[in-house]
Amino acid sequence: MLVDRHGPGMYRYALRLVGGSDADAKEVTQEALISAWKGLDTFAGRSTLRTWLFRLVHRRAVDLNRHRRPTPIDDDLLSAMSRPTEDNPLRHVERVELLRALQDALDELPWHQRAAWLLREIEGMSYDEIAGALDTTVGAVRGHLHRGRRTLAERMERWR
Amino acid sequence: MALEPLEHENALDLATAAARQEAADGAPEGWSEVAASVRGRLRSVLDPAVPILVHDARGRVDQDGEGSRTWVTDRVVKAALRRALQASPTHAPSALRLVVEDDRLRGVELDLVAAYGVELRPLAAVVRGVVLDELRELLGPDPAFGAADVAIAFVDVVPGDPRVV
Repeated sequence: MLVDRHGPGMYRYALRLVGGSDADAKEVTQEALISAWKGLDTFAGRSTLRTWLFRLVHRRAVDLNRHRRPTPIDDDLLSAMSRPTEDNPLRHVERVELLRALQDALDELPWHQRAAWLLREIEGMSYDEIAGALDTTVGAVRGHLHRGRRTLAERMERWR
Repeated sequence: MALEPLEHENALDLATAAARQEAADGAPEGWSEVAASVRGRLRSVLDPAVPILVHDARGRVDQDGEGSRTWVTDRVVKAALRRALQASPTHAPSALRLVVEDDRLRGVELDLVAAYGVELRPLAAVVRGVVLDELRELLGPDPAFGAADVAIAFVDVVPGDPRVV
């Protein structure tokens, strides 16, 4: 249940957080889920299970980021995540390009701004939950989101 | 998802909407491969469940004249205790360990986080009662197991509800 219910969201978050490599996202997600399974007995219940799981993903991603050199962004990453379900092929291409531009802009954000933006805007977490997932305060989350949104908006304007 | 004409929309809003739609469409591609790999690794790292003997209403482990016995695994007991210990805003479990010897439960070691302002000694008595009730429900009345076998340590005190703070 843990894997089926929360795994896809964790993997999606990891993919966007590590940005450049689906292999890294897979490793991060696997490690987080294994760690969660082993640590269920120590899950304090002081946050929701989902928040706790995203915190594990975040920690694993931070560890990976510390130990790895930057890698070039894989241009196919987001196109691989987008299924060609649009009736209009031009719309599909436009959407793929838009998501690619978003990922490029996200990759340029500082780590915590990127994480806070993803958890708020894509995963729909509250400020309290984001603070729990990132091991920080609600005030810091507000700051990360404010700066992240402003920077993303500026960078996405280039896409026009 | 239909994208609106760009001249009327903020590019970030459009991209955010597209990313949310993508998330709502289902699991990302590649997820099934990750899930299979995780399940494979979980099977290899899982500790075997520890069986715990159940007592009948008179405190005996033999359930009938033929010596039939019933066991409940420690995973079931831990899950039930964890649920029972999250029912009140006064405390939340931080860690939970069962001591099992010869298929019999010999002890429960419980680390708790308490809400600021709650008297810890009376709270410990209440929690101990909750644990004993839950164990009796699951494992039956074990005459060798009592309140002294439930060790409670308060490892943190937090303002507000410790289940969510």
